[in-house]
Amino acid sequence: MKVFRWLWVIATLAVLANGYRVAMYVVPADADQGNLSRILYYHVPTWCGMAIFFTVNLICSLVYLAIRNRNPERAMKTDALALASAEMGVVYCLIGMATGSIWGKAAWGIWWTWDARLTTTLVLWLIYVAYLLVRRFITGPEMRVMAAVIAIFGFADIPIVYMSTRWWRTQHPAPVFFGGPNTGLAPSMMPALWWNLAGWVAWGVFVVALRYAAERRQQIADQQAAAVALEAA
Amino acid sequence: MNPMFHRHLVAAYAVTWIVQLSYLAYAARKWVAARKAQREIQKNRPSS
Repeated sequence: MKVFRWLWVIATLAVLANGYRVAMYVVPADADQGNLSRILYYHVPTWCGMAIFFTVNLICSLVYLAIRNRNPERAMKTDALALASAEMGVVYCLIGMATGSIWGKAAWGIWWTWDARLTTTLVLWLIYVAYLLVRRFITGPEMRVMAAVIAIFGFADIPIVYMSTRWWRTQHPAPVFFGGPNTGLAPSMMPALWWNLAGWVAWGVFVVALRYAAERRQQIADQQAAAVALEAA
Repeated sequence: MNPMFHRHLVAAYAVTWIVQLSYLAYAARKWVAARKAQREIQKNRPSS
């Protein structure tokens, strides 16, 4: 298992290094934006990572609510994975907003605008930050149930974020994937996107696995501490 | 192209790596702390 973990890390770093090489030196610069368009090769994979890990969080939250009474041990595992994936999703969302803001400053001349895409994304980030704050500051057995319910409601914002560029007139362009006619990337730019997408998703999987392991250890340590206290009493 | 735009490209890539590595460090610290807590409890457990 340890060997597999190290192989995963090495493969991830190799894919990210190659992704950087392809993004910087292989694919051509955009005709309009020049080298600035290369931000896309980190910006888009970040959003894909966010969507993946918030979806994992949603699934784990639903499973937790479904099995928490029937199978508490497995429910605790899914809860640990829900926490790890939510944190990773928040990190990806933050990076997506930061890289988008830097790109927007150069392309549009502004750091931020309150258009539908950016505003719904900020709301999404705040919902998941609230989810993490609930987990951090609320104690007691109902904390996990409350967090799972917030996660389910929070996820409802993701389709709104995705569809915002279709439903409303926005400063932000249409999505790269499934964005409709006259959207998407030139085939010559796709290799950089795929390499970086694979690299950042693999990175996310590694970090979530590490965070999950830490949370599981903490849960077990808390259970052991409770057992020791009972024995002492 | 405006040479200032290169700064934006570098900034976007740097921000990505800084935030990702910071979170990795946070996750690793949590992992080490949890392992230490688990060991402490096992060490202090009264033998029956």
